[in-house]
Amino acid sequence: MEDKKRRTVLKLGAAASLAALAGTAKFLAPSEDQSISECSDKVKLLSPDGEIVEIEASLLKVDTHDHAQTMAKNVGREGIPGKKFVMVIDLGKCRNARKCVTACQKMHYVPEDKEWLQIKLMKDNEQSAPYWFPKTCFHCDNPPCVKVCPVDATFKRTDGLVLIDNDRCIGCKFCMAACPYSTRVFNWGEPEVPEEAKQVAHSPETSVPSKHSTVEKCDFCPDMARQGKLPDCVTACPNGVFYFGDENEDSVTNGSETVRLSALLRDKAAYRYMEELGTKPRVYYLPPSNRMFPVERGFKNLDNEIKDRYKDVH
Amino acid sequence: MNIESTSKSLLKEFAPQITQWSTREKLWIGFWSIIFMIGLYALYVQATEGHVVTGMRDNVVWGLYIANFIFFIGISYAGAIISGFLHLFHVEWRKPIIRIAELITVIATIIGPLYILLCVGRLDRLHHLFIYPRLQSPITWDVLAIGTYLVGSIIFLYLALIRDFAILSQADLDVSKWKKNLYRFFSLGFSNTPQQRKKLNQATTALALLIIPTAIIVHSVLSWIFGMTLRPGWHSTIFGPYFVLAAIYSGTGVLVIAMWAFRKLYKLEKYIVEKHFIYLSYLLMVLAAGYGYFTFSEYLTDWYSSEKWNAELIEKLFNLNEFGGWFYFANFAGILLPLIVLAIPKMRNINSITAVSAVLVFAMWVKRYLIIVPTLETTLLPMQDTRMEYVHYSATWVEWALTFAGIAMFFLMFKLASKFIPIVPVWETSEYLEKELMKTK
Amino acid sequence: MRTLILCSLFAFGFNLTSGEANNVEISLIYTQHANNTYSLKATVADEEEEEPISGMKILFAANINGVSLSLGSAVTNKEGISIFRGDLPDLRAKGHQFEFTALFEGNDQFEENQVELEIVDAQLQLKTEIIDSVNTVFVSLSRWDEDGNSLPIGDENIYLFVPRMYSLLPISEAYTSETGEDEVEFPNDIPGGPNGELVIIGKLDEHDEYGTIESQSETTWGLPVSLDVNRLPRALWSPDAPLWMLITFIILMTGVWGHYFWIAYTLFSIKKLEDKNAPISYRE
Repeated sequence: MEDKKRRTVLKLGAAASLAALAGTAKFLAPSEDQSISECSDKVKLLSPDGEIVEIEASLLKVDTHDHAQTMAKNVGREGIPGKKFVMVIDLGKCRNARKCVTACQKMHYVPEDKEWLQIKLMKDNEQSAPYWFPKTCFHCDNPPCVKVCPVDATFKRTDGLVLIDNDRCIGCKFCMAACPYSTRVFNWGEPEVPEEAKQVAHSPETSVPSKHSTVEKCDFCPDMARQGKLPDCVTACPNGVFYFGDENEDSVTNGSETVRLSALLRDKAAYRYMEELGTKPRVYYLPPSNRMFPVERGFKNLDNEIKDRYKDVH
Repeated sequence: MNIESTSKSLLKEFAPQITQWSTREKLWIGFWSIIFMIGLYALYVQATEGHVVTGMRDNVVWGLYIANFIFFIGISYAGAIISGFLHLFHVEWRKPIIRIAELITVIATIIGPLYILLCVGRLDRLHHLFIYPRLQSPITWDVLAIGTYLVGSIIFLYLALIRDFAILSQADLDVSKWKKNLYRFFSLGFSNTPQQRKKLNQATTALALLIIPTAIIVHSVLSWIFGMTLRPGWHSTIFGPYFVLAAIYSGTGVLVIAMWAFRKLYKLEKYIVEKHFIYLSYLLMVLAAGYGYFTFSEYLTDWYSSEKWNAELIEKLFNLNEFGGWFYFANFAGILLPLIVLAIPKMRNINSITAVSAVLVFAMWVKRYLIIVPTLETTLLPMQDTRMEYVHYSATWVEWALTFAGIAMFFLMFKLASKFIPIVPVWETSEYLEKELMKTK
Repeated sequence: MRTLILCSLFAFGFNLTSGEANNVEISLIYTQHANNTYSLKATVADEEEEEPISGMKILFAANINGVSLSLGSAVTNKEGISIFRGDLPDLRAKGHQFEFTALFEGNDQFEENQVELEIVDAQLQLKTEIIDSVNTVFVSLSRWDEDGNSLPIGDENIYLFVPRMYSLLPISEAYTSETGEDEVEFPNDIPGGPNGELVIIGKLDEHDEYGTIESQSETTWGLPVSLDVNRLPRALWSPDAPLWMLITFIILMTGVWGHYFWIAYTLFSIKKLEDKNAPISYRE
């Protein structure tokens, strides 16, 4: 009885994933949660060499982004019930390792020159010391970008996220002009999208694949959240700079350490960037005090092109 | 008072404009058609390759196109003001020039929004504006306001044309049959009965009253695309009236140029006289002073309070290595020069007024560019980008080609209209001439 | 044969020299869960490259009181982790000293390897009670002697958590006394379910002898947090415009367009008033 039930579930899962999977091995990843003593279900798949191979269905767990595409589009607009996502970025720990940037690019299949997550070198005034400043989308509670969208292509969800429906965006770029944080990027030409991502149906929750002449940005990876996983920038950071969690649960985690949000904000004197603009960001910063690294560490092993960006900051 | 004979002689005088094509006209059409075709090719390039062919990038997301958009909507004020205001105040001398003014309005209001379309990346999804509308977006306000304004302007143009259509349909003109039929159709069987006259006057007055607030709303809404954002130089409470005044100013300037051109072209020296230019120069002076006042007020407050990003923007505008040259030009040529030249009675003649208008219209275009680009280059967070095209905007040939194509379209549409209707209103001018005659008697 | 295909798929990208098999490194962790189950987690990595190896079948077995049990198998995921889950009573029926093994049988690319883990079965109990309006958690940790009698385990840290969306949030910590017991105060300001439901998890973490032991208790000590998703309010940033904006829009549009239609109607009546007999007269 039990076995039968499981088999049905697996079949469904496999069927849903097959369409998107065809021809790619990168999507294949063995199951993490399902441990099965006996493997009996098999599915046929096209291997990278073009051969048809049989694989145990239990091994077929599609990479992060597959999940969302099976959902109806309007689910992506509604938000995860009961959640209020929030991020805390500890500036004292950042050393510009850029692992978050590359992880984000890899996860969303965007090329190297398109950074949804940027790391700025900030220097608040002449006397203060420069510090590294990772900047995601702030998912504001009073989002200037959403206000100005003429077609409801970028929208605010009940779980606090600001997402973009790239099947609806008309590419007027008004949201880009309206965002005071220059968070949004535009596909000026035909976007570079790897073959495997092209097959995927677009969802506002995955922001994959990029579509030409539309706007995109950091989405806080709600497709990962639906699987109970942290956004890739959070897990990729070697120094635990990013804390992510649910404000309703009063808890954030950077993957290794879980803390109460209220305590963290109180004890570390958290602030929101440019609070005076009234945008009510959902991202908090912990001031760059008690630094773990000297700011110069951030220049080590950096491409010259990237190093060049910061030449005006002394 | 005999309007009939006056209008008949007038029509005879204007008939060649409608019925004949001179070589000069053909060359004119040919030249602007070529410019227009180049623009079409640029459009094809942009449509197939995407906005990557423009100079716009992630920081400067808007450029020439938006400047052109504001500019064209601005000059559309020529009609709204001249025919609207002057109609309401029964200013008689407006009569010979209303047709020109209204044509400018309609044509500019058609061309202006095309530039907004050029800024839209996915024209294939334009219908989303109607199936997923969001009333909160200034773009929605813009679409509605400009649409309403365009319809109103077309009706206004038409109302003033009905009696001319009636005259044209009965006159002995050397035009093809379909044209005549069209004249008859559009004349609505106007036979100048007292009842018809009364109704037409009612409609015209109502629309004259309506077109003024509509025009003001259109340009205010347009300014709010910028004013509603949190960007330095844009987020200003006076942006609505500032844009409205700028629009009336540049609209009047274009009207002066058009009057000068048509006066020369169609030998209208008798009907468009120096007095008209002098009157408009008074208006220009008032507008220049008003615009100067707004400009001074705007930059003084930003400079005085010197909030971080405003100060950065002001620094860019005043710095000769950045936008300084154009900024000084726009303000001297656009405000001080007209004020000084027109203030001297001796300088107030047809040619100098026209020359000043031409300079100020160009300066106003530059000013629009300076409202858009420097602000977008002033981001709140440090830009820290090594790609030059992302840091500084510089328009590409595609954008220039399409800019000139808009100008070409303006001239072509004007020419086309003049082949169909008299550029000087026959009926109204006859009325005006008769009244002038009475006065001299 | 099946394994072969898997290897060729999953080991794609590994730099392998044909013929030479690499050594694998296996680590094994035992966890006792609150719902009377246990899990064995084997992490497999390439010994030289220190890269996780995915797609490897790991066989789990146990030896209890000299009786060998084949538990089952699981395949490693892309992090090199394979997890086997089983029911704890199955093991306890046979004794309280477990010897686990995780075996990798080897294949073309990797050598056979196995790892052993000895665990002493222990028990962690949580009891929750409100004493003088103070939320109190009672912790007791014990094991069994050879006759099956309970023996207290003292001097151990027990951490208390509440489960959150992504991870366990540490709240406080207990330290067992000689009797294997401790009591700790629990805060009353932790957000819980809609009715204040809050699960408290006690954990003995990665103990050398006992492994990881989890235990849980369900309380209503949480701050009630409503899970209801209300519609977004009418706002500039929501799909629905503020009412004043809608009303202003309707008034403006009907005002202007009403006049347009009235003008169109007037034009229509002008057409109707045409005097076909009278030639157009310009006489006033």
